[in-house]
Amino acid sequence: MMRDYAFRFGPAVLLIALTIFFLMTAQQYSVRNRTFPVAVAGLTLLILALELLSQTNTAIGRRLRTIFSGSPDSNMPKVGGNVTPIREIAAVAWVVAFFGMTLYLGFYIAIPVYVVAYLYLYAGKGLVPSVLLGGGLVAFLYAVFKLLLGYEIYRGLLFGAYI
Amino acid sequence: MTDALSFALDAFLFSGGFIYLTAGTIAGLLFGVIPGLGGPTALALLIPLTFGIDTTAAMFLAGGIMGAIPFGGSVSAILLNTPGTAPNAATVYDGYPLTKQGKAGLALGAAAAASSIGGVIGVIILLAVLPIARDAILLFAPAEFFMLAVMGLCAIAVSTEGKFLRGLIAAGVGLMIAFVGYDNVSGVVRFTYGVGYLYDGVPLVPALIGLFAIAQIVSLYVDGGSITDNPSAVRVTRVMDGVKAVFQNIPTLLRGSAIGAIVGAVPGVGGTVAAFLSYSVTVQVSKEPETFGKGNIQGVIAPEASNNAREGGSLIPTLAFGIPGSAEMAVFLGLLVLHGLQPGPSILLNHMHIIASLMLSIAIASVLASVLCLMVARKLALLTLVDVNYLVPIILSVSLVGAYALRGSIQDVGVAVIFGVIGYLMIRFDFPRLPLVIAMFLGAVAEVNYRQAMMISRNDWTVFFTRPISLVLFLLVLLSLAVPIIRHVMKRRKQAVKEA
Repeated sequence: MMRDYAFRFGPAVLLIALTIFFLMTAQQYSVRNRTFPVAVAGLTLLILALELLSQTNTAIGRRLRTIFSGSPDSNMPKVGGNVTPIREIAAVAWVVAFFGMTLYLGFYIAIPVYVVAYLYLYAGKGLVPSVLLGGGLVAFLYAVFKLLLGYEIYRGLLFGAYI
Repeated sequence: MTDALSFALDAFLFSGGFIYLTAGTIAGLLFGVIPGLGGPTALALLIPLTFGIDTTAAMFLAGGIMGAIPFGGSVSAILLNTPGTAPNAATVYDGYPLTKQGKAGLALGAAAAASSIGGVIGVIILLAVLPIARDAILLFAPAEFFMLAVMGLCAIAVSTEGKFLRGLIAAGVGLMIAFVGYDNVSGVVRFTYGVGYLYDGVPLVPALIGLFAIAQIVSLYVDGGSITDNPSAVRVTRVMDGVKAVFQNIPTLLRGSAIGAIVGAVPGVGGTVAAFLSYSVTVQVSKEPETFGKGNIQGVIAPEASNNAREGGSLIPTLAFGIPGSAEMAVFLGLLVLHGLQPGPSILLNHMHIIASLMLSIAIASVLASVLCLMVARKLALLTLVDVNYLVPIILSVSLVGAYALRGSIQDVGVAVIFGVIGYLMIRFDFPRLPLVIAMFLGAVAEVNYRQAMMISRNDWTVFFTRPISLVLFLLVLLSLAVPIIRHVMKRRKQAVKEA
């Protein structure tokens, strides 16, 4: 029940908080420089309030859903089917971990490590195809970016790169 | 225009244009065949690769992708009952039944011919409209451009079927992101929270790579498995019968192409609506409506022609006014900006040769993709059987390297990752991504023109309602916002009539 509520109201509540923060930040600029952003944020806040209201099971909520989404049953996100939050967090974690590794070790080390770790450890693929894919991918990216286009690919903080 | 076309032809034949076009076409086919990837992802990944090459060559590459994606998507729709891109969903209705009847070759041949001719018709329509648009655009002052930007945003939010409020919210958030960095009028730095990296604003291309490529990867990871599990041995024969069938159904072909080009030109309505509209009109005018859904070849020709013709149509608002009509066009705008081209009057007046290269490449790619694809159709379809676990690391690696390569900034990679997470959350919580992306593009356009209009009119806000074109655009904004209410009232009336 709590998760269902969080799912339905969470995004709108979070966006309301961010929009209010944006509006507060806007106050430090001159009237000329803030008029347009404030107008946009104000309107967004209004629409967010309508969205929040449309997620309720009140008569107004049902009415809003009917007008803006076609039927009173639509536009009511539910905690989702086969997808578990752990799987979703893991999906994002793989991406973030890959980025973190790239930041410190650079692309040429991070890519094969990530590909092999992902395919061999997570997806249960054989070690040989995993290593081949990782190596092949680095070779392809090196050929395209370094040899063909002449780009210097990021080396990683540990190898002298800087942010 | 003739000079621009001869320049484009010259670049195509003698300056490597053909090679870039072929590469783009092959990439477009691959991304089109694999469901879930599609045009925006392909273009987002392509942008970094074009940084080191000439703008005309980049147009050939992009044109190849845009021309090939629609037909690539129809291959998996016809052979595997899985549309490669959303607009190909209409092709499934009659394409897959034909495959089940052992007539996959017939369906593919018809789709190939219809796509090719549809693509060429779309470009011809674009060619006819652009000179008029070039003259019309000179009538636009800041007040009109501001209203046009607002109208584009509202139209796109309305078009997100069943998600009107969320479309508007996404547009609002996109505008707020667009305000980060230097104010284009006064030069004041805003909303950077002391982060120097943000002084130039949130970089668009890494954000696009995140929203489309990375978000799609996370989504593929979460869903798991392979894209389809139907490895039925498909025989691809009788292709020429399909090509002939198109020429026996010329009215269907022309109607589909016209619907595609017209609907494509309306911002936000997009290819899916065009393809389904084209399909449903074909069913309505048919003398044998009961045969549709059971393998009627017209049910393949109409949506495929419409799908490719739409590319030409959707370039009209994108190039003439800088209002992208679809996610693909939004990413394409990123490509133009990266190459120093500002969509709108300046591109139409000063860079017609670039547009001619793009039009030529889309027209040729539509034909080339069909020919190439028919040669390897079955092998391409097998791509959808690949375990997504192999696709995830490949696409993620290319996305991140691409995000870095643009400006050699690791922070850009961070932005791509952050927007990847935002994009996935938007998919998960059912918020449309298109209004966000388009608002990020239009934010600066809207604000600069609003402030210029106010300065010219000495802070008289009635300037937006007293100039005729601006007033018409304002009324269109109101009309687009009223669409859900009008739809609701009409539905209730219909119900009341039924009950009576």
